[in-house]
Amino acid sequence: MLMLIGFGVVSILFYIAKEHLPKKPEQIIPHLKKGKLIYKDSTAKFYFSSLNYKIRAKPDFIYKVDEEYILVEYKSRKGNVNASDIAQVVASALAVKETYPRLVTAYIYTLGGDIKTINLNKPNHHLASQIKNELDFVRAIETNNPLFFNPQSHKCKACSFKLSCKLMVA
Amino acid sequence: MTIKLCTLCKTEMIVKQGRHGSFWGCINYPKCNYTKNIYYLNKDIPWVSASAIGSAKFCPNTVYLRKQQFKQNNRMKYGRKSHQLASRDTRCYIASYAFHSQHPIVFTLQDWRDQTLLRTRYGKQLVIFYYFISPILIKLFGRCLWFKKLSQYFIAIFVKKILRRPIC
Repeated sequence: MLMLIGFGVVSILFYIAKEHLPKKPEQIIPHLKKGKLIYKDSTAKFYFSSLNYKIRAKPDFIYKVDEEYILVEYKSRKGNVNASDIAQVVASALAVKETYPRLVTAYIYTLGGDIKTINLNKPNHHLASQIKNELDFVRAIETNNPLFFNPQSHKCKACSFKLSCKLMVA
Repeated sequence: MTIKLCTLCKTEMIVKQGRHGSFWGCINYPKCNYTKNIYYLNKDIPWVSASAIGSAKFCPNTVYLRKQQFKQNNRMKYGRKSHQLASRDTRCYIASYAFHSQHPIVFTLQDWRDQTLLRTRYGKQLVIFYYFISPILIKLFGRCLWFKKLSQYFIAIFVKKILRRPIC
């Protein structure tokens, strides 16, 4: 009886751990199983850089499938894929495209299981136009000329700098 | 300002206006059609990271606050808690039990805790251990007179020897 209870507890713990552990991209996107992993963020000692747009990036994974390159970004939260994740991936794609010009697709997936596919088979200036405002904001901040932005209240609820931001405004 | 040279014909490059915005083009345009992005080789434009662009899409203020080394919410809360513990906490179980809460020895021990112990890692651990063990001791031996006398004696010696200042 005790053995059965122990086995049940262990199996429940194993199930909970399995739900909370990050999954490999191949498990989420079956299309990548026939490809080859050529870049991994945790083991790489360099980052991709775009001389044209002055962007540096370290994407999570890059796969090579049928002479085409696929970028994969993993988010460790349980919610959905946000617009900020897409902007980050587009910026990463601009940096990666200087090394691998045949980068055609990007996948973003979260721990909750949400997957988003982004088509990167476009000219670089089209991709750059998607993140133009953000690029200007970050460049202004880096050159110590910040453009102050009036945040939206629904975003402030989830912001990790909410208290500091209130102090700054006050 | 440095002059940018064309890599093909080694002549000067100038900023031109195109359909998709401005770009660097060779001055000998019909002969040489070499072009470069407007940001290329421009040392005035800083490098940015892809994650900062993602954060800026969420809210540009977060990028600014992170660059200015502002604290995140959870760290601020932790900081506030430690500040409360250091400044407003009036707990001192055994000393309050042995004397009374308004006794000068209690105030001295509270000052020593706030100014010395809570500033070090091991001191914080000692304070946490003291707050864990002292209610248990008082619950077990609180009604014994010998425990009160003994704790008074040892606390007085401790305060005299460790702090090395007279107690009124």
